[in-house]
Amino acid sequence: MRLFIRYFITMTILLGMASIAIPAWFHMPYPKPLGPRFDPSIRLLYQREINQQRPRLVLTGDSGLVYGVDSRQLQKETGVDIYNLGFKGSASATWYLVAKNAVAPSTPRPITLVIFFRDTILTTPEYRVDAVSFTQIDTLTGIDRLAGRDESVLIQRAYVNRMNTLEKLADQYFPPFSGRLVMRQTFNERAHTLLPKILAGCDVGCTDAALSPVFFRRGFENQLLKRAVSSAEDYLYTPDKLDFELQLPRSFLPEIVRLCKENGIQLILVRMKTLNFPVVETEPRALSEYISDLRAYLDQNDVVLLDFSHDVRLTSAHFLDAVHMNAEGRAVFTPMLADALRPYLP
Amino acid sequence: MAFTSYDFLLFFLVVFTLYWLARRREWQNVLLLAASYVFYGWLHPWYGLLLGLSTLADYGLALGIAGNRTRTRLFVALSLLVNLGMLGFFKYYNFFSENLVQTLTRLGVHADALLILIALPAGLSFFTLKKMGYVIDVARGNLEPTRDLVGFSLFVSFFPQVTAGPIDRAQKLLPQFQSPRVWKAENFLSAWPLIVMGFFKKVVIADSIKVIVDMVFSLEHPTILLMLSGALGFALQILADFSAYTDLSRGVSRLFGFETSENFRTPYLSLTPTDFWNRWHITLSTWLRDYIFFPLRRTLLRSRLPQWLTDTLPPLVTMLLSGIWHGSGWTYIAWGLFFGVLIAVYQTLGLGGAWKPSTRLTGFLAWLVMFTFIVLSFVIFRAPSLAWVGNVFLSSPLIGSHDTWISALVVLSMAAVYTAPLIVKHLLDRHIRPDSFLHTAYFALATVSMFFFLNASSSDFFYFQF
Repeated sequence: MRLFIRYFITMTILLGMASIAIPAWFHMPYPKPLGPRFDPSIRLLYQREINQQRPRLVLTGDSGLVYGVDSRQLQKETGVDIYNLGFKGSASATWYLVAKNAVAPSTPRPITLVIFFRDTILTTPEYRVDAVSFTQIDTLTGIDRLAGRDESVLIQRAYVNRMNTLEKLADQYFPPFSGRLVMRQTFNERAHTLLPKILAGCDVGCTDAALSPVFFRRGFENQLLKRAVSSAEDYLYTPDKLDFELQLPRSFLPEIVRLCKENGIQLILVRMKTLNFPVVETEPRALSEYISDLRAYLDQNDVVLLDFSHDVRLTSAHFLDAVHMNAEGRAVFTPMLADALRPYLP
Repeated sequence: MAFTSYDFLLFFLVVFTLYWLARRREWQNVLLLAASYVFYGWLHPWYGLLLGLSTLADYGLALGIAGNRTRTRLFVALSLLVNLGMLGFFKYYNFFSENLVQTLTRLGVHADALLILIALPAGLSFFTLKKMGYVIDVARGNLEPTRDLVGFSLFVSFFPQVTAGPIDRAQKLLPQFQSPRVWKAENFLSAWPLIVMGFFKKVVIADSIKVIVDMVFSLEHPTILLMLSGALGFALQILADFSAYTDLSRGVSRLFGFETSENFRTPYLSLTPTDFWNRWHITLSTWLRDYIFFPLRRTLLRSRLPQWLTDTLPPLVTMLLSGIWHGSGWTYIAWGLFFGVLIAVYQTLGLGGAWKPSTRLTGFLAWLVMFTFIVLSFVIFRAPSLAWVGNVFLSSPLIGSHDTWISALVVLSMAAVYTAPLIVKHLLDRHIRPDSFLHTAYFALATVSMFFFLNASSSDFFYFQF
């Protein structure tokens, strides 16, 4: 018992010291506002590019779009200028920011916004908003690049809603918890450079410059990608994620629909095929019900849904893994998409 | 439900309070059983049904053996059919269906409907071994089958063990479930250091090193040095991750008044492969030893085969099965065979489990060689495919460009930094008196550092996939 009491007292003293030192050292307000802090100046990169290029059609989505659609070929086949804002590893939070911070405020505004999604991803707002899963290591989700000055909806729906009471309290009033990201970053920076500094005289800038071409620009091994993708995907098919009515008010979908309506932008949603449920018989009933509810909601709001999820023209030979198409798949899918989009284009 | 989730914290508090309020052993067991099924079926309730049905099957078959000894072989065969059938279907369906669809597609036949993803129920490999061990022990006459259905079901599904072991034997757990338990301060005092270390190793060490290890093993063509650095990082990740799970499992079990088995005894200090398997995933290796290695060796000895065969076949077959048990893929099979060959070669050289070095230098060299083999084995275990390993060794440069050299140093650096706390703990345990303030300070620092490394979504324990 003596050992435990001594441990408890020592730990309390250390936590007390950390609670004072962390806000002072890292200039953190106390209590801290809930959720992450984004760069306070809005980044206008994509909006500026849209203003310059004046596309009529903007595409956004995750790696399903990046791997599955050839924008040049699509542009050629539809005869419409296209701007592709696909982010590998992104999800609905990023697409909401695309609509809010890149498409809606641009002048002239694009006429159509096309969002590529699969299954329940549109109503899973907290999916892929932290850079912790494998699929986000090679790329940023785009959130930090797209987030602006006022992101209360983003912070609430993607971050705060999933926190429990304890986490909310700790995030505001307990600096060892709320300052953990910056503490960890500082520690990892030192850990990264320990040996490079000693053995090669390479400091933080030098190691970052070396890591970038090795890990972030090279091809990734398919087998491993397959494993990572399938484990990340499980999250989208839990019973609560398949409950459309439950998820809709928590999600970014109503906001995306509202932004498009208010700014006169035609919204088109494209449901991509995956090998999780390649033919209609393999689709779980709960997912079919979810899609049927989604379809009804989109009909009510004049949003077009193009559903390729069970299209027999795409087979397993057209895929790299469960969700990503290969070059052959892209060549087959792009004209299919062009044909489906044509009736809705100006 | 993972031990590092908030769901588990709440679940544990409720179960722990009700358990010690229940007082009577029978009620405590019923409560633990119900809790174990809630824990196991948390995300997919049908997993609980699978667990329940297979438990009932083995419970009945074991009683059948005791009731009619002349039909022992039939009942054992039925048990093996149920257990191995389940394991085979859930673990290997995806592997076979993918290969089959690829072959059919090449022949122009579209069979995408076969690509139904069969999810592997967590812990299936672990509780299957528990049940098989029980039935075999009953068949051998080493154990009287229990009529206590609640106790047996609890032995199979006990929530601190159900997802990733330790694979305790019925002889160890059942008597504990059938004895009265009263709360003692000792339960808590022996549990808290395990729980602190379990969280620390998982949240701070394993989850941190995992990121960079995943990156290395996702490259198409890493240099040899980069791959070996990644394997070294993975050696740290898998030890920290799995021993963390075991520590948490043992700590939680102790809070309920149960003593469960340890799984790791400084495995990376092993001098021979047999020594390694005596210290690594101990409950699995003793299971394999008692139910596969020894019976096979006895059979071969009786059949009067040449000695080299009776010496080499048992480790080869046992380790091959160990590889297959770990997963459906050629890398696991190769990893198992690698250890099988290594054990056989070491034994041929007279370096079995009982071997002791004559001098310190010999000991150091033996450790260095064995540690190199361990890291190489993890290259195979963690690699995306065997072709990948072959390509790296045959066609990648050793060091490569300045960028790849620095990247390898970064990985080594991370591995070194995150290994340091484990080395410090080992030295403290070995050289410092248990009541020293240094132990207290270590645990306090470990707890504080955990707050800095907490994530909203900690990754699953590595061994959940098996």
